[in-house]
Amino acid sequence: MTAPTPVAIFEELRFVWELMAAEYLFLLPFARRKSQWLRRTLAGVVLFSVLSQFYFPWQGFCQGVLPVPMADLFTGLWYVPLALATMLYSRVCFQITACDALYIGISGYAAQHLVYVTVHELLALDWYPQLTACLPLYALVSLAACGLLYGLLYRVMARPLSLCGGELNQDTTAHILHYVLLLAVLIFCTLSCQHLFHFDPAIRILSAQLGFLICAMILGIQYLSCRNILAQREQAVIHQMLRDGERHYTHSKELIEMVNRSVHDLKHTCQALRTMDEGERLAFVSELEQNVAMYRRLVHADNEAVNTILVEKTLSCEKEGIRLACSLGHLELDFLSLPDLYTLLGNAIDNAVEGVRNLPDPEKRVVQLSIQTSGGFVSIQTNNYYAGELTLENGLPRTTKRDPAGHGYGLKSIRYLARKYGGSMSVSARDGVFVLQIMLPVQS
Amino acid sequence: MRIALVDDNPQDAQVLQEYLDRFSREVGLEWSYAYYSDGQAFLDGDTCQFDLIVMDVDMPGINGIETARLLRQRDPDVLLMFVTNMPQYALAGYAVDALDYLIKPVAYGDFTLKLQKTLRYLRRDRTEWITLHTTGGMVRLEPREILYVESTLHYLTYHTWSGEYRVRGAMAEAERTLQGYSFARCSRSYLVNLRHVRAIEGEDVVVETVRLKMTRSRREEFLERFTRFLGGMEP
Repeated sequence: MTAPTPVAIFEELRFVWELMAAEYLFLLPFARRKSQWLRRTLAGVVLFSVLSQFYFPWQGFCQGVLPVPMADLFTGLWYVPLALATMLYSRVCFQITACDALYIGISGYAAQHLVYVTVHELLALDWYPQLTACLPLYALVSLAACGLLYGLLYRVMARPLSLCGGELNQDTTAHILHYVLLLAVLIFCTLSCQHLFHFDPAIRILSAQLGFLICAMILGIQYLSCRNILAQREQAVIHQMLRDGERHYTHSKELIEMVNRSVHDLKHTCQALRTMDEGERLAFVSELEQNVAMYRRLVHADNEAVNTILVEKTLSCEKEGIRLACSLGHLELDFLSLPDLYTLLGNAIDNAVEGVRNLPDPEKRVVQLSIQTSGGFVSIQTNNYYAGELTLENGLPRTTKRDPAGHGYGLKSIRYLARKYGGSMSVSARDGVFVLQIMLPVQS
Repeated sequence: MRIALVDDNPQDAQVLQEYLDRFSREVGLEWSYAYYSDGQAFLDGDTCQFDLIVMDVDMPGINGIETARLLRQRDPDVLLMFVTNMPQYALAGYAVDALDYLIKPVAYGDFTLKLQKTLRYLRRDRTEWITLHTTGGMVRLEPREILYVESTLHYLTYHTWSGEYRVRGAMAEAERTLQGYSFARCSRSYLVNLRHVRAIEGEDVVVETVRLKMTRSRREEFLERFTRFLGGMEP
């Protein structure tokens, strides 16, 4: 077996370098980096550079052992496991789901193939074959093409990817199947086009065009898929807020009806007071004073909006036999818009109520809400008992309901709103107690 | 766990004691408690021995808030919970750094939920001594005294209330030493004691009087760690 030429060595190296660079152009704005990711990346580059050279023994083996048509096919198949290995390696450096690793892999492979078709097929083999004779120039041209194309792709894709919050798709069977199939189609088509290119010089332009178009189409699909998912998420949050608004209206209506009835009763009370004797009157007034005291206990925050929400929630909880206990300190919530404040508090309370609703022990059917401002932060905390298993996934409880798409958005909207105001939220479920903590920096 | 019950009404305190007994049977926790019928008697005793003070707000003589204010002068850290009839009066309780308040009549479920909250914060605030091998010799201190740790080249600088200590080493070692004591990285060179975070202003975190920058890549995790600290949750 003759030693490979420098150009041949370069051809193998540039494949892994171009592929990894393409994957990273998508990974960097998108994925959460693990600790020491840079070192791991560099180790990966070294690893795959070394692995790429094993092409030559493999080629030698195939050419020597297999009959001619099969030999070429099997030699070409070398790149498939190598590419898959780089996609797998992204999981070592970044915290991403398997589906997203495939998504990035597909996008990276398609991007790299575009460079391959333009520089290494059309340019190097067809239009300007003398290029390969001068290695430094060849390397420079490859670098320039990568820089140009990847730069363009980055400008288009970086922003939507960065808005995904580190995750595009969860690892469900359907999603994995979808991406595996897409990857298989991509690899099959590109390998076929490559094969056609080498097979018959007459149809070179055609096969290059085909390869190019397939990759461009796949990249387009990936881009649209990302935008779609982002749009869906935003819609879901808006949906949740609309539902909250609807409930607000219903409760307000009920409250107004309650007030109407009280006014009506007041009329009869006045009539009764006129006809009572002194003793009865005093007893009646004491009873009224007690009711007033009870009402005052409900409405005691120094913030109108908070009072409204809390009174409403307290009354609706009472209907279900649940106690809502509020500990309120100094409130500085004016920087929150009214709908956002309502959604935040409403969802926090609803989530806790959900947890205690079906508890058998009446003493445990209590939800504690505490809001206080300490220094530069507003701290909102709910505490409630819960029953059964509660596993946390990505910082939120995994929904046990059968329709995961429609639920769990209460806590997700809280997280979205907390982040919107520059704060954060976190939950913990331990010793049968569920705690939700929201932290918002006070804005002047 | 040692609890002080300060209430001018012995029956109310009796109810709480019964709840505590019941809860300790259910959960298997040991408490000891002392009862004081007025604020002055409590202040005259040994207040340092207690982990939690449950104080009635409305008492003749010195009321609960005033007692708490005087208590805070000598013990800024002990956990404080108020009991009151009217929630409006408890508002002032937050000014003396109260953990929470209870409204009379106190229900068992309410009380135990707040007790568990207390236990969480006690666990979070537990204190131990650590030793630093500084360039000026060995130094023993409590993690709560450290405001933040700065890493430069081969040295770590521990910024504390009582001065700065230089220790040879890298940030990874500081993280290991201070693991479990509510510290978090806001950037590559700064490890911040979450207890001393006073404000978050845009990209900056204010640690007592020092303003440090949060890098974009660490901001989200830092804020989440801080939120968990605020909630008394496990880091």
